[in-house]
Amino acid sequence: MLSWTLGCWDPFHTNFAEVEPAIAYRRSELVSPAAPTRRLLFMNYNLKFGGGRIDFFFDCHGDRVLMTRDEVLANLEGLATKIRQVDPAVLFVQEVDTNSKRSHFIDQVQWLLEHTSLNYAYYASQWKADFVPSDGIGAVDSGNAIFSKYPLRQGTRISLALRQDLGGLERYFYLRRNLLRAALELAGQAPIALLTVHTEAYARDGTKLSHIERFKRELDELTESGQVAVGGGDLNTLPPGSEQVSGFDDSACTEDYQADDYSEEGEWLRPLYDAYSAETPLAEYQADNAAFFSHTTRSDGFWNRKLDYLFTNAEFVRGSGLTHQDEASGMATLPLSDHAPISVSLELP
Amino acid sequence: MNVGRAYRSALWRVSVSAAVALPTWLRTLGAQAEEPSRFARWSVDSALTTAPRSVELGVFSQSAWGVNARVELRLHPVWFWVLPHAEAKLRWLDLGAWQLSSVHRLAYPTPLLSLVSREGALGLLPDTTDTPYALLLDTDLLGSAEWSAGQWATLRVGTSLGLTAGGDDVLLDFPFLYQRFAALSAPAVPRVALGADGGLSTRFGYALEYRHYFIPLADFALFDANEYAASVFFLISAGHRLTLGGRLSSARLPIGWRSHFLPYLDYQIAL
Repeated sequence: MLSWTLGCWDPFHTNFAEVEPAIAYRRSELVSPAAPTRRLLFMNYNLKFGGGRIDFFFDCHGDRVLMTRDEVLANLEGLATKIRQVDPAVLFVQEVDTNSKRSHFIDQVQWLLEHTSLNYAYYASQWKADFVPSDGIGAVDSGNAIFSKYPLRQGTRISLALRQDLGGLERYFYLRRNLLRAALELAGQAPIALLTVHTEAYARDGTKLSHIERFKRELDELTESGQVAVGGGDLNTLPPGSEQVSGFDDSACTEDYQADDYSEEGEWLRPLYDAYSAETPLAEYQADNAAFFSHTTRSDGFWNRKLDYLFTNAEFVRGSGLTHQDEASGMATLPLSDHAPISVSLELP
Repeated sequence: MNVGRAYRSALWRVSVSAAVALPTWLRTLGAQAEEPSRFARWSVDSALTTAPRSVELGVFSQSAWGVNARVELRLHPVWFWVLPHAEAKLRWLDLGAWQLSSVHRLAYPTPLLSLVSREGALGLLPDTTDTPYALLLDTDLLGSAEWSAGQWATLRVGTSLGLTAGGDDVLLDFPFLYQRFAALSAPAVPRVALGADGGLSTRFGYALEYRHYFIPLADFALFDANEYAASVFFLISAGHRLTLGGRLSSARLPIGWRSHFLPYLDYQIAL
């Protein structure tokens, strides 16, 4: 009853339509990109809302809730430096804030456009509320974005299933995860479909699997329609054949349910690997898991699991996939976010 | 010299002096002046005060006490325990159809700020917030005109001053609370309001108000907020009435313009 009332009344504006246009962004002064070659560099990066390695309350390593403006800007500068160093043609991001009290209301999508050579972006909220009356979070607007040097069109936010294993009030303020889809326009080339997602992390009711399946179904439909598609994101689960699936050394939360226990998710990504090319072929990952780890919640540890992925229905350039774990790939990334970026080149058909 | 600190220190001294002097002044005010001819039957947001020695209790609204012919005191009996406060309405001028009053409110929001600085649900501020010692001092001037028999129009002009000592800067950007506590993060929050109230029949009455707040927050451009309130009263008997109303807040918050609606129902007793 409470859930229904809040859903209809929506006093804090947390709800979204099933499908709606994504929010379009543009750099204030466009940077002329080089004419696209036969290869395009794609990058995926979970930005942790510009939180760097500040220990926040939600990952149980600290008690911070809000950042100062200077902290946010310093962290964004680090992220922008890494993005400039990789210089992707297309960048998928997760956990980017556009209007949140925790990140001092800085529109990080626009900020990143102004501080990199990316020109266009689409943004889709996955957590939006005029005020979250819990833990001092307050106003929040955070989500996924697709950035590009080249024009983007038809940005669309597609709602994913909302987890049902929460009480009505908690569910009302909880994350509304989504698929963000856009079309990349390149001169002399059919549009390339772009797709990014950040799947559920904490649900115990099968919501995470439903999000992964919905992501694959969207790729399937794009493939059936004859479009070249690239999808990526933080899928919040491990590849098949991962040697360690639980008991990670950065696990600090003490609740009964451990979100970082993946022991029942061993094959959840198998259909994606079977149907599409990945930035890291599964055989390579299974031969050396650690080289492709992209996440840890500990600032004084090292990456200990792979959660971030890029897939395509075309072909990635063999050997071009890279998990940017440290200075060997250009600069240290551990201080920038709780995720490492990944990148790969797409061979245009 | 830190001008902001000196300014706040001066405000502290003025407010503490006023708090000490106010009770004596209130006692003498009613005796010195000529007694007004008109009183409100129920406590209202016009310049009229309630009759001497009248007492009004509400379940959700403020309770009122007519101290003497020119002074009405108000406080909320439930909110008082988490937000200690008191409000005095002083009637300065009574020309029959023209009335002039002022309203002074002193609140100590520190207990409320501590209460909402918590982990989990109802944590409006982070648990780690170093809650400041704070006072909120509100002053309004009210001018009312009776434009028709029993129908009053009121212009209200006022400001809210926040005085803090120590602790963190707290921005309580929750709907409705935002404009009421913004003075803790701004030098002052001026406001202006237009209101109307009166009877519709022997049993029904109404009150309407539009209020505008100017909110000059330290780290942001000038913000503002509008509030629209409407309520209808039903007189059950001479000393009992029901109020049904709603209040719409349309505020330019740091996240942009947002509108929120709060319906309410109240039962009041006049003794």
